[in-house]
Amino acid sequence: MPAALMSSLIGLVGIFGVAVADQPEWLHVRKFEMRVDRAQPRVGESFHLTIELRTVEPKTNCNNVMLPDFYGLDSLGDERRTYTGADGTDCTEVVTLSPTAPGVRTIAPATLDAMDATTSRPSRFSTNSVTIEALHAPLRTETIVWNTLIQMLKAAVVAILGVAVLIVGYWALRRVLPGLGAVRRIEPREIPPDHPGPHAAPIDEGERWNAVIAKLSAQPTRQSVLAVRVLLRDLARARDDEAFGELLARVAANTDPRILDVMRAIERAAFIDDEHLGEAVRDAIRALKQLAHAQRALT
Amino acid sequence: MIPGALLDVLATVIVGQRAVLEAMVLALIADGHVLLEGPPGLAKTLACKTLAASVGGAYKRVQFTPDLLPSDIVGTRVFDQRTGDFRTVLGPIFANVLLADEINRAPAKVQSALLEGMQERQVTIGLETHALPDPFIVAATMNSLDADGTYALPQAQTDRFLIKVLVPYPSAEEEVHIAERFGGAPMPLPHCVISIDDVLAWRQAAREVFVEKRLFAYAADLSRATRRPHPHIEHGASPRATLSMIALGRARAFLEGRGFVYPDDIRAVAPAALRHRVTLSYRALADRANVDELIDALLASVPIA
Repeated sequence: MPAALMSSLIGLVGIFGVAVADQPEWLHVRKFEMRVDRAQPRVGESFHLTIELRTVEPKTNCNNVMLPDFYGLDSLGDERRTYTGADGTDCTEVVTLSPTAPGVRTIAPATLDAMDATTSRPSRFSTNSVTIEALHAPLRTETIVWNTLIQMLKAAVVAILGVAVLIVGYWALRRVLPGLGAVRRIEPREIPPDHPGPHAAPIDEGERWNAVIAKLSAQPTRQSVLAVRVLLRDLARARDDEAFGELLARVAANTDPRILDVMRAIERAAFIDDEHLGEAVRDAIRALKQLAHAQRALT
Repeated sequence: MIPGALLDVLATVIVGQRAVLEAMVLALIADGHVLLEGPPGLAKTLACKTLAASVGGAYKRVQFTPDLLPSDIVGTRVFDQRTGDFRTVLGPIFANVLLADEINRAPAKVQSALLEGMQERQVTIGLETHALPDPFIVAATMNSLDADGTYALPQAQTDRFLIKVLVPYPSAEEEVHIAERFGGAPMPLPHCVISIDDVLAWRQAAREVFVEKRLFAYAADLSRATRRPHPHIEHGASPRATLSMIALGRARAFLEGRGFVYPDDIRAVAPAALRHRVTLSYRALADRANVDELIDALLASVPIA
């Protein structure tokens, strides 16, 4: 029996405890109101909803304040401040909200269940409701740019169509009036060249090679040889990066073998050591003479 | 014996692969090390063995494996119980021709053991420094990096190879010839066709081959072309690449019996001297860029000397 008695006592204490916990606070509510800092926020922008509760009692349980349902709004967070002074308690709750769609939204009142100390009755205190008008989201930069591009495109299409209409109209008029817009044709005039280009071919191929031979004979230096090498590469239309072997392989099929001999001799003279340069230049001159002689015989 | 004759001797064993054999002889003349890369079964090892056998002198072979240690290559100090003192046991690197077979199967620390020997021709074991024999040439083979169980060679290591040769598959005709030549009894290798003195004389002669000053600039321009900003290149070739091209150009001229270098010599050896010295970027790997195509494009951007 003692055990049954003990459990009954525990049960009574539990029921009493719950009854004490559920007992509403006795409050003298002086102020309980709700407001927003922006009445027309745009979609995606945030605004603040402030709920203020002022009571005479020095210690007020602000947790009993019931927030309304924020339909159509995103709740981004809340902040609660409580100030207790000699003349009572001020509770301020600030909720940050953001509209999810444009339109008018009415936020229902916040409520507070408490024993009204003025009437000694349980009461439900309510704030005012708040109405906001959520506006459309602001245009993004990309959208502005895109809209501008579309506007420009439209203007361009209109301009092109206008020009096309003008051309077609002009063409139609020309058909009707053949003399319209006739332009006097100016015959091209041949302009004599001031001086021959750097690689302009002489009248006689043999003369070209004689000039080269004369230069090489007068100045049998590497510099002269390199100048002839440049000339030969230009004549063969060698690419800048084309190696000599590649060049020979490319032109061998349709080039006079004597020109190939000259190319080989000049290439050798261009890179041979100084001791053998004179001999290499003489070989090159010999090959050039054979070429010049053959070409003179042809002409 | 002239270098061209050595090429002919090598060709009696190796079917085709003339460019590979020529590159190996060029490296021998230019006093450099050669790296052969290609899929397994393309006679990379046989080519190195044939070259080594043709050159008189000491020949050693090291099969690179994942558990190889640096001391397995350079040597180590061991305690001699009879004398009660430590003595140095020299490793296989002390040879005239060292065949580093499948070099990329060993991790980087083992590959790095070759660095001092390849560059400075000496090896330090403990506190003692030992000079390597002259000539000393490392002929290394490696499988393509995408093969399983291989490690990438460190850049410092690859830079020390004078030349990297890609070993291609043989043609259909060559493959038939290979089957005929190696289908029966083992093929005997040519033995001591040239002497060490021949090699040293060739090297001296090649060093005296004339290089016109424009070609130095041309080789430098080719190296510098790999250092221009390019989305597929992480690092360009070092100045050692320029030196390699000049040395190989001289060797090529000497091989052809000339006493001077043509621009074509430099141009011909450039891909083999550059391909292992250009580090591709991550984007190049993602784009599956080919280093040889990249180098060809870069070379085409440099006017010939």
